[in-house]
Amino acid sequence: MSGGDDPGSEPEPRLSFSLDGWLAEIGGAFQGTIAYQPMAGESGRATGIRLRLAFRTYGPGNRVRRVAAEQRWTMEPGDPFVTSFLVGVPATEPISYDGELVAVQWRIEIAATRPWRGDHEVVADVLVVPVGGASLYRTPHPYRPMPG
Amino acid sequence: MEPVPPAPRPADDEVVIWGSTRLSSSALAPRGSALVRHGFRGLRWQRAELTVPAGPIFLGSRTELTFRRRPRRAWSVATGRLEAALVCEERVTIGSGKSQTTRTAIVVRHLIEAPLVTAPSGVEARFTVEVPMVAGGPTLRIGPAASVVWRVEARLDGEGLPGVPSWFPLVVAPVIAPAWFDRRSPL
Repeated sequence: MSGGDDPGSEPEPRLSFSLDGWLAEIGGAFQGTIAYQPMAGESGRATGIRLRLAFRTYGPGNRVRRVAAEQRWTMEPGDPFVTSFLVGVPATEPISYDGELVAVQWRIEIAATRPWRGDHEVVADVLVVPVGGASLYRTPHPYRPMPG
Repeated sequence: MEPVPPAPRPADDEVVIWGSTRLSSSALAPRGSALVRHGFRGLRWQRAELTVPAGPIFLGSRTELTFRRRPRRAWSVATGRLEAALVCEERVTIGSGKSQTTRTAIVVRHLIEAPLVTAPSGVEARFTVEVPMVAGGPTLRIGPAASVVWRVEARLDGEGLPGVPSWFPLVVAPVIAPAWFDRRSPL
């Protein structure tokens, strides 16, 4: 992600990440790489990177948002930063689900934490599937599994 | 008074769960005067029990269950059948405090019938339930806000038998049964 093209606006840093796979079995893990490139002239420099694996519920009922796992890295302000990550999906959490009254949506949120300024965040939706379902699902349970 | 013979012990890999009775949203509950008649009749019987495998049930699995109900005292053995249903229910909470309400939706209801084996010790029926892969989901509890629960509802149908349904909660794990891959037909 990038920004700051408008004249007079402050250039935005480049924060991006890539995932080896956007689907993981419950009890498994997501892994990937995070890259942060500060921009010249950036005033509120990021001092760390925060990764959250979280889910939210949708539907007519009360909404729930829960962070299932969190990792943090510190970095020198103004320096570029690249790291790989491996974040586990706790076996006690729900799988991605799309029912009649409730849906569970998982996502990975990565933020460059900037003191005294808002965090710069990028997110991606991911899928958590039942054990044994890595080769079957392309949409949340209980949709029909993919043909074998 | 003739004593009722003791119930058989479950196998090492099985457990017995006791049924509870909830008529408000049951798929099998009798209505009106039949409810009163069956309610009084139920007092002569012990609580229903269901023998299930120890541990959770997997998505896509076929599981054999045994329903038993024993009389409190000797009874005149009669014939009948078991009516059962495998039910998956979503439940969500809306609002909080005094305005809090609960909404439910049945997303799976598989009806099952099984013949009864009757004896002086009571009645017994064996039947198989299959947890589907394409409807419902594993047992889910996100605090009080949302849940997905599975249960077996079972009632006896026959002269002299208690017809009030019993509920047995089941736990379905987020694991696909290995046997499901063997049975899977091309989609």
